[in-house]
Amino acid sequence: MKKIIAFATCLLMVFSLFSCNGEKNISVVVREQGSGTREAFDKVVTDGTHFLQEKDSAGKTVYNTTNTATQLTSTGTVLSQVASDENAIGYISLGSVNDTINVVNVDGVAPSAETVLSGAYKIQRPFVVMTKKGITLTARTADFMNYLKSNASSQHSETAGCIFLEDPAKRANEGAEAIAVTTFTKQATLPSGEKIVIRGSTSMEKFINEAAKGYADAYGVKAEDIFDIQLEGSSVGRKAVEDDTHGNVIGLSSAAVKQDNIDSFNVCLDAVAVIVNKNNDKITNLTIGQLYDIFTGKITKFSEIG
Amino acid sequence: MTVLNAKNKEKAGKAFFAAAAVICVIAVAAIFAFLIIKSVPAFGKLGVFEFIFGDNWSSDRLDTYDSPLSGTYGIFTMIFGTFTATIGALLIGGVFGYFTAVFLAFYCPAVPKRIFSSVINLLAGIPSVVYGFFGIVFLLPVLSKIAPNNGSGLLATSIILGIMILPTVVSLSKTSLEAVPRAYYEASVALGANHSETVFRVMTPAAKSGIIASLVLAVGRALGETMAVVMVAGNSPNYPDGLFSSFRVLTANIVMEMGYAGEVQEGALIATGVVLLFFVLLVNLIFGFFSKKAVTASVKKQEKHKITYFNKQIKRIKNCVYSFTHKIGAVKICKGMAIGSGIFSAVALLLIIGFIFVKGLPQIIQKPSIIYGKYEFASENITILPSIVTTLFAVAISLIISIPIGLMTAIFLNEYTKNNNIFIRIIRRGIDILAGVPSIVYGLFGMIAFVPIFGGSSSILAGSLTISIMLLPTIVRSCEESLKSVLKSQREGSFALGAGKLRTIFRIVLPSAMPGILSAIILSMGRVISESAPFLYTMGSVISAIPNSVMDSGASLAVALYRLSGEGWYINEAYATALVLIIIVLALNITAEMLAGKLSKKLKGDNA
Repeated sequence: MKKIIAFATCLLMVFSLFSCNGEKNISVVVREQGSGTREAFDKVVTDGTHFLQEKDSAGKTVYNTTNTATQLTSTGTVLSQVASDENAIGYISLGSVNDTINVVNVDGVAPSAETVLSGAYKIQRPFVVMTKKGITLTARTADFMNYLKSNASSQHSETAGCIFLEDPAKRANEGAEAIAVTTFTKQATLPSGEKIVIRGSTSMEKFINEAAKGYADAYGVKAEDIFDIQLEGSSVGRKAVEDDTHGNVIGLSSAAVKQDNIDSFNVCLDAVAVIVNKNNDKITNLTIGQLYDIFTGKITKFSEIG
Repeated sequence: MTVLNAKNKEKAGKAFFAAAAVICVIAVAAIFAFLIIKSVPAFGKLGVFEFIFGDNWSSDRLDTYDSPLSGTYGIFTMIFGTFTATIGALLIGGVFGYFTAVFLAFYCPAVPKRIFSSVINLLAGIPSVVYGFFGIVFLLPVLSKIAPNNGSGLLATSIILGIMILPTVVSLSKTSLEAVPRAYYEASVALGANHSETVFRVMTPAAKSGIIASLVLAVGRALGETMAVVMVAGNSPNYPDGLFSSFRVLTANIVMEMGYAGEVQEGALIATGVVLLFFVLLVNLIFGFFSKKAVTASVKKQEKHKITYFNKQIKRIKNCVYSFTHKIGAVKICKGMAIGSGIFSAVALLLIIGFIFVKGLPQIIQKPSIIYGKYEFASENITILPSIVTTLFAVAISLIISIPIGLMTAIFLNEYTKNNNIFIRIIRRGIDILAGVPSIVYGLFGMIAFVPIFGGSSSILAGSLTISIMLLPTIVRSCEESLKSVLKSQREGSFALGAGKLRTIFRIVLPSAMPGILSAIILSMGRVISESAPFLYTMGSVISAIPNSVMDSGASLAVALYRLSGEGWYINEAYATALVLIIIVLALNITAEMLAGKLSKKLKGDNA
């Protein structure tokens, strides 16, 4: 019996050695279902008839992403995975791009402030700030919301790598009233209230940290003394806003929000950047159609792309 | 009058201890009640059959209970994945574990054996995130050389899980191998069998039920493991169809999607927890069956069936000697396997600890500020000081809650329950069940039971309460063991001198059992420090400012490591964190072992 096991193991090892000569398959790295980044990517990438995430005729959500994809739960994990695997392709928020990976152009367009605002770079999504509808915010929370809505947050957007929205119409949810960009005027003293609780999307971490720091600096206090920030996911943010009883909760969502019990506005636009390994210098541009074929598993080798 | 008072005092004491035991049972009931109540709407909406046997998981976070479903929720691929990974782990950890146990029990010289045994126990104390981290930074790059992908998938998961269950298999199998009466060995050798033949043809069959029990327990651990698996499995919700195909296990499903889950999705994830709990309980029932068999077998051996059982063994030995020529090959292979496994286990351990030391130590030396540095808001400078403080908070609160309850339950079970009535059996069963519940299920329970109580967002208090329930069964069991090891004659002597039961317990029994109890406490501390799955959605997962109250949220050290290892640009800080974590846990384990050694020495001294 033990001999058989030993023999089978040997066979298996030899087999696996043989199976790997030649060029390796592309390893597709994606985010988990429900992630705002994935939603933004999946709803744009198409071969003309199908999208990576779509609804079938019965109204059921269908994911067409290949079975062999690696699913990871954070921007950082995707980044380190792609940085360490020469054959990987993945996508992350533009603000999180660093020099450990290469960014690929999509349909010949590189993601940047201009291309995102003009719509030439297609894979983009809004960063949304939420509060509970109908609740009276504490003076401090209301003041911070004014700060976020004002042009003060434009410099924080820039530092965080997302694109500030100037157009009042675009700042509102589709069909809702336009939200103008105001100028923030500092109160004489820091308005009273308990700690401002911030929950929500991990993609917005850089932006909200910058904004909180900027706000605290304006009043000469420490950010950690007036904010309680724990980012665990957009849905955690939405739930926290819905359950708000003190008027001190601000939620962050990295996907469009349309809920009757929530007030929201789009603070900036984020592009989802397609990334490959640093050593992968052959792939610099992919069309939306090629992306669809790679992420559905129709193209399995980078050499198949001309 | 004084007599009556003393009697009342005794009664009150007993009631007190019994109450503690009842709390354990209530905890079990609460876990089941909460999970089931929260998952019933999901089961109702999705259909029990469709949920369990459906093999398409396409969740939609916008699904609500009052509108038609847009997502599809079927977890069969994950049930299948969980079992495949468990079998893989068993093939690796079970086989190597068994042979390592044989090596330790019969081939290893005395001094290395002592060192090796305690080293194997240390392996059990390494936090699962560290295993996962090791998988990401060491195992995957190695495997990617032969894999068509980055190396993640079934094989990597099985190897990591296999190493994780190794200590369980080794220590339990070794115990049951050593419990086989020496006479068997001597008889076999007297009849002409050599050492290896005796080991594999006589001793192993005699210890069979104990070895199987250790394997079943290992299966339970593999089923419930979360963090290490999430880090190396690939996590696509489909069937594993090759050694390197991406697949998802039940525990991973919960951790992956909870953060972004909508209403129905969350229900479905809690239902996933219920299914997982069900499987783990099943495994525990099987374990109970085998360990009972092991106990009855050893009792039988020592009593009247001794002769017939012995005869049977002698027959076996004869057969063995007769077919000596063609079996010598098999036995030799086994011997080789035993020695090889011993070496493999030692190498695996050295590799994990050594790798993290080599990578982490320079980081800490170069930038010691990571440990004590001041937390700066939104800065690139990582400090783990807030995490250390958070961890200390969690350790303190959870021990304050769980040690008294656990110790009193152990006293109740060991000192007050001679007869095995239904009440006692319920308590024991309850504690057994608690011991088997996977840590992620505790996390789910904490998230739906404690977090809402404390205002809806995660806090140190909610996390600590969650982990204190998790500590209970281990504390009860190990305290009971050390109470048991106190000689009966000591209690009788105390009674004979006129001391009451309470006085005997507090003045005689507890002091004698103290080293054992202390080691249980220290091991529990290690557990709080190394666990991460129960904390993710109860205590928080982000390194933020140093908490100034128990209502603040924060990431414990292990959670911080999980976070940092994910963030590509903090990998050096992750090495440093892993090193700090390992050093603390190893130090605690060594202290516990020394205390336990002291206990046995003390008792031996009393014997003489």
